[in-house]
Amino acid sequence: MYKKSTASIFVISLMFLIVPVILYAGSMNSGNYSIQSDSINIGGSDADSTSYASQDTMGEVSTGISSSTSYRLGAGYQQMLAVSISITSPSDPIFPNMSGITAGEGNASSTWTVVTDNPAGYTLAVKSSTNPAMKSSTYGSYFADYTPAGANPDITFSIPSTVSEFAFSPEGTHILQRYKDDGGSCNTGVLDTADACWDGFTTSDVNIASGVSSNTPAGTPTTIKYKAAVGSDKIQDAGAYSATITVTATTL
Amino acid sequence: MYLLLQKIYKNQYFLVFIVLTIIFCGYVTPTATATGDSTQVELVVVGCNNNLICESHSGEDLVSCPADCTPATPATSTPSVGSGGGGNGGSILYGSGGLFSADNFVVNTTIDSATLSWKTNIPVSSTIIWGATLDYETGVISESVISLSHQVKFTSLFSGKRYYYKIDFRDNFGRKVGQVTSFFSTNILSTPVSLVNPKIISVVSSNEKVLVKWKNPKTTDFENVRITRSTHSYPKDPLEGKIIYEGDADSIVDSEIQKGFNYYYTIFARDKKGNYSSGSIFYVNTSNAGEKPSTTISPLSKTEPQIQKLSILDFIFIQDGVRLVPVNGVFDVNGSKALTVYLPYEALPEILKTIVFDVTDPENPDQIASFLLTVNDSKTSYEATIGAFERFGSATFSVQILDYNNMLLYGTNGDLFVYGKSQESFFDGSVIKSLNQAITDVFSTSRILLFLALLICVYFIIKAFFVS
Repeated sequence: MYKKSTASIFVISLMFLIVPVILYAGSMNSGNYSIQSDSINIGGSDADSTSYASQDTMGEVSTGISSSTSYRLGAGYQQMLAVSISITSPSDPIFPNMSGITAGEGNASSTWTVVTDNPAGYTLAVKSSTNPAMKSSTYGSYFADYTPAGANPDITFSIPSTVSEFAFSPEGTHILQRYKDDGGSCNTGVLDTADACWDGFTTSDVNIASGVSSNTPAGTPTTIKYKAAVGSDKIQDAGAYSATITVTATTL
Repeated sequence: MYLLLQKIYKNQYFLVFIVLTIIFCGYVTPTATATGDSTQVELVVVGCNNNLICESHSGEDLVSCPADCTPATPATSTPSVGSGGGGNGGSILYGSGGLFSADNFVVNTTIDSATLSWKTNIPVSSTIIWGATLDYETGVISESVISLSHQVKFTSLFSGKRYYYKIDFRDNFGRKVGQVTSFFSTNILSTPVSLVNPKIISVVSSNEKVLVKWKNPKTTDFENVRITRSTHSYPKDPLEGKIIYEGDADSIVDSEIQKGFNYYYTIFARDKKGNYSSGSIFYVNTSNAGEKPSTTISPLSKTEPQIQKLSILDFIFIQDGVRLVPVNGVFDVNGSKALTVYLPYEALPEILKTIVFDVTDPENPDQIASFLLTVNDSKTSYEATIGAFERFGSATFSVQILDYNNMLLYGTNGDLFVYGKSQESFFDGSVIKSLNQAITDVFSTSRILLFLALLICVYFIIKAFFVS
C-alpha cells in the first residue's frame, strides 16, 4: 500500500511538472514566413484556454548558452525568447570650420545601425546632453537649438539673420512619419528627401525611427544629419563648440 | 471531485504553490531591452572679421581669412593695439566739418580687465557702451570731464573672451561729433596647472586600523604619493604631520592609530621634479568610525571682513588653461579633462586657514571627494587640480574655509555639469551580450530553484491528499 501511494504521488507530481507557463504567442509569422528559432525535441504539445497558453516539450539534449564575439546561441526549447538589441558606435562627426563673422552654414552626420532579433522591433530616440546642444566651453557661447516654424520639422533649414542655430534631420528607411515628407512639407507623405525635415535637439528623448520586426543580422542604419548656421547679422564667438548627442535604441 | 478540490484548497502548501507559480511565470515575461551610444559633434568657429588685422588667436590665417592675412600695404589709419587686446575700429569720424578725429587707441588687457585709452584732436566727453555681444548689453561708462586724453577701465571680465564697445563723442556744446565701434579680447589664463591630486576611492576604518585606497594621477611625470596624518587638522603641505606612507602603491593600511582620536589625512602626489599636489583629504574618528569631521561655525562677527566678502564668483574653474563660464549658475565641465579650482591669493587674508573643496560623484551623489586648495609657489593663488571625472552628469561642489581650530569661517556651494562621451564600455555590444548572458544565467538558476520548490509543494499537497 505504501509503495502504491508513493508511486501515485510520483506520477501525479510528474503531471504537475508541466507547470503552466505564460508565454507570448507568435514565435512564427505568416505571410512572409520567418522562423525565429527552433529546437529538436521528443513530444510536447500546445494547449490553450481563453486566458492562457501553454507550450511544453520533453527530451531535449545539448541545451544551454553558447557565444562568440559575434553571436549568442541559446540552445533549447524557446531559449531565444530573450531578445537582444545592439547599436553601432560611429566616430565623432566634425564640422568644417565656420566663420563667425561671415554668414554661413556647415554640415556633418552620424550613422547608427540598430540590430535586434526582437520580433516586435525597436524604437530609436535621440537627445542632447545640454540645453542648448551646441555650446562652447570657452565662452559660454552657443548655437541655439533649431526651432521649426510650426509643429512639424521644417522641410528646408531656415533661420533669422540675427541668430545662429543647430539642427538635425534623420534619414533612413525606418524614420518616423514626423520626418517623412511629400516634397513640400514634413510629417506627411512617404518620401525621405535628403537634407529635409529639420528639427531641434532637446535634452529629452525624441523618437526618430522605429522598426516593427526583427532585422538581424544586417540591422537598419539611420543617419542623423547635423546643420549649424550663423545668420548674416550675427557674430558668433570664435572657438571650439561641441554637442554631445545620445541615441537610445529600445526593443518594443 | 469537489472533495478533492476542497482538500487541495485547504492544504497548507497550496498557497505557497500559487505564490511560487506566479513568481515563476513572472520570470518568463519578456521585458524591453535598451542600448545606446553617444557621439560628440565638434565644430570650430573661426573669426575672420575683415578688419585688416591677421588675428591668429581667433583662427585667422591666409586660407580662412585672406582679407586680413594677405600681405598688403599697411592701412594708414589702423589704430594701435595694446598687448593682449583685439582689433580696433577706424578713427576717421564724422561731424564737426570733418575736423574731429580720435586715434592712438591702446588696449591693455589682463585675464579679467581691460584698460582702453585714446586721444582726440578736440576736447570731448565720451560715452562708452560695451558688452560681450554687439548688443553692448553689459554697461555704460560716461566721462565726466571734457578732455583730449581719455581712459576707461573694464573690470570683472572673463578670461579669453571678446568684448565689444561703442564710443560716442560729444563736444563742449553737447553735440555728437563722432562714433567708434570696436572690440578687444581679454587674455587667456596661462596659470601653470598644478599637479593632479590622487583620487581617493574608499576609506574603511575601525578603532585600530584605516584602509584607504586611491587612484594615482595618470600624468607621465607622476613619481609617487606621500600620505601624512595629523590629529589637529589636515596637513597642508607634505612636511606637515606624520608621514605614514611614501611610494607608488594605491592602497595602504594604517594600523598605528588609537581609539578615541580624530585623524586627518592628506595624500599628496609628487612629480619627478619634486613638486607636490595640493592634496586629497579624508578624515577618521576612531571613536565613531566613518563619521565626517564636524566643524564648528565661527560667529560671523569674528570672521575677517575679507572672507565675508567672498563670493562663489571668486572661485575660478579652469580646464586646458581656460576659465569656465557658468551658464545659469552651472559650470559645464569636460569630464575627460583635469579641472583646476583657483582662488586668487589676494582674495583671502594671510591668516592660518584650510580651504577644503568637496565635489560629489556625478553618478553617485553620496560619494564625495575632498581636496585642499593650497597656495602656489608664487603666492598668486590657492589652487587644486582634480583628475578627469571620467563620469558624467550633474554634480555639486562646496568650498569651506576653516581656521586653525577647524572652525568654519566661510562656506559656499554650487553646481557642475560634467559632460563628455558616455562610457562606451557600458553600452557597447560586447557588454550587452554579457548582460544578456548574465540575465539568462540568473534566470536559469532562479527558475531551477523555484521549480524545485514547486515540486516540493506539489509533493506535499498530493501526499496530504493520499494520507487523508
